[in-house]
Amino acid sequence: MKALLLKDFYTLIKQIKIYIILILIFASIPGYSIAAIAMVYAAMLPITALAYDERSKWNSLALMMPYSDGSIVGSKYVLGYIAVACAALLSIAAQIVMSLIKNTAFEIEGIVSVILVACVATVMLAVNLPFMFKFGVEKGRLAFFALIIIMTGAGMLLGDGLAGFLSESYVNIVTAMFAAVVFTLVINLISIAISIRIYKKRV
Amino acid sequence: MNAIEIKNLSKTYPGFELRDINLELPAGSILGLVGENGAGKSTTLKLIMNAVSRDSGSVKVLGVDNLSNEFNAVKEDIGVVLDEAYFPEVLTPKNVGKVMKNTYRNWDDVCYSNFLHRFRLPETKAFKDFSRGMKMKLAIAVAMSHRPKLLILDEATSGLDPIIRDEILDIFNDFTRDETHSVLLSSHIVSDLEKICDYIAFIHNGRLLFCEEKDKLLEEYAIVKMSKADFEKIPEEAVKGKKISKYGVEALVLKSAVSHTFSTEFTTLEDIILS
Repeated sequence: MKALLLKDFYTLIKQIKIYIILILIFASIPGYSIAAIAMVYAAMLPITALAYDERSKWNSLALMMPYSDGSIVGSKYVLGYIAVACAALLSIAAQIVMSLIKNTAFEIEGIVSVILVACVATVMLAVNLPFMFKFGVEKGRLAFFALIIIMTGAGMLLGDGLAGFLSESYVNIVTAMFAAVVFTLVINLISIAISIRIYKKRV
Repeated sequence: MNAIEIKNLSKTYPGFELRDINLELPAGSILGLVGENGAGKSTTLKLIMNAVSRDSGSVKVLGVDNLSNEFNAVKEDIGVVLDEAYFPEVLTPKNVGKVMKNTYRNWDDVCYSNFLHRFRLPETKAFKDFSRGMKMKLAIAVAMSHRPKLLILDEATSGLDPIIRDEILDIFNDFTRDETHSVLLSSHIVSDLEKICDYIAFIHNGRLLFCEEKDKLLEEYAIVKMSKADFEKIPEEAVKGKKISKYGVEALVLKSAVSHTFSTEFTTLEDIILS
C-alpha cells in the first residue's frame, strides 16, 4: 500500500500543487466554514488521484503487479483519511495559536466542530468511492450527484422534524461528536467492503 | 515444468469470443503469440494474469493456479509490459523506481539504474514527455529489475527503432539462458518472433490455430512457385495457402507431401502466418 500512496502523492503534488496549497491555507484560517471547505476538498483528493490513474490506464498495469485488491482499494481511502486528518489538525492548530495570541481561553467546541466536519467529509468520501470504482470517475461523479440530489430532497422532507427532535432531546455536542465518529467509522467500513467487492468483479 | 499452462480457456465480450485456448509454455523457452489486431492476444495475456474474469477454463502460472490466493505472491516473479498501459504520466523514471522499490520485494535499484542508463532514459523527465519507444523501454526496465522468472510482454517491441528492438530481443534471449526463466511475447511483428522464439502460437478470431515449435514449423512447410498445370499435381491436402496470378501459382505446402521433383524454397514464419 505504501507504494500506491507514494504514487498518488507524486501525482497529486505535481498535478495540483496549487490546490493542495490552498487546502493547507484554508485549513489554517480560523473560522469553521473555511476550514470545512478545506476538509471537504481534502476528502475529494482520492477522486482526483483515481482520475489520473484512469487517464494513464494505470489500473490495467496495477492488476499485473503484486498489489492485493484490498490495498489498491484501501490506498484511496487511506489517502483521503490522511488528507482530511492533515486539514483537521492544521485547523485545530490554527485555533490554538489564535487563542494564544488573543490570550483567550481555548474552547473545546472548536475541536468538536472540526471533528464533526472531518466526519462529514469522510462520510462523503465513503459514499463517493464505491461509485467511482463501479462506474469510473466521469460516470461515478454523475451517480454521486444524483445521490446527493436524492439525499438533499429527503433531508428537506425530514430536516424540520429532525431539528425539532434534536432541540427537544438536549443532545450534548460532545455526545453528538462521539455518535458522529462511530457513524463515520461504520459507514467507512461498509464502504470499503463494498468497494473491494466491486473491484474484485473484473469485467 | 511449464511456466504457463492454459486449459480450455474461454472468454466472451460483446462481439468477440476467445474460445478453448490450450497453451503450454515450457520453462526456459520463449513463446511468441502472434495474430492480427483484435485476435485475442491481449485478452489472453490479461486472463493469464487474472486481470479480467474468465468464463471457463484454468490457468497455472509458475505452477500456481491464478485464481488461488497464492497467485499474488507469484506476481513478484512476473515482469509484465503492457501495450498502452503506463505509469501515471507526471511520474519520472526516478519516481517510478521509488514506487517499484515499495512494490516488489526483490527490487534491484542497481539493475534498474543500469537499464535506465543503457536505454538512455533521463531520470528526471516526466513520463508524459516520453516517446512511445521511451515508454516501452521504461516498462521493460521495470519488468527486468525485480529479478523475474517469467516475462509477459504485450507488443513490447512495437514502436521501437530496429536497433533498439534488436538490443531488447537480445536482452530477452539472455534472460532465458537461465533454464528457470521463460518469456511469453505477443507481437504482430512476425520477424521479431522468428528471431527469438522457440514456440509459436497463432491466434486468429479468438481461436488458437496452432502452437508449435518454430523450427518444426519452418521444416514442415515450404514455398513452391510453379505453373498452374504443375500445381494441380500437388495433393490438395498438402496445400495450406496459395496465391494465383496470371504468371503462375505461389503456394505454402507441406514439404513431406510434395514430390522432390518440384523445387521448393525455404519458408518464413510470415509466409506461414499469412497463408
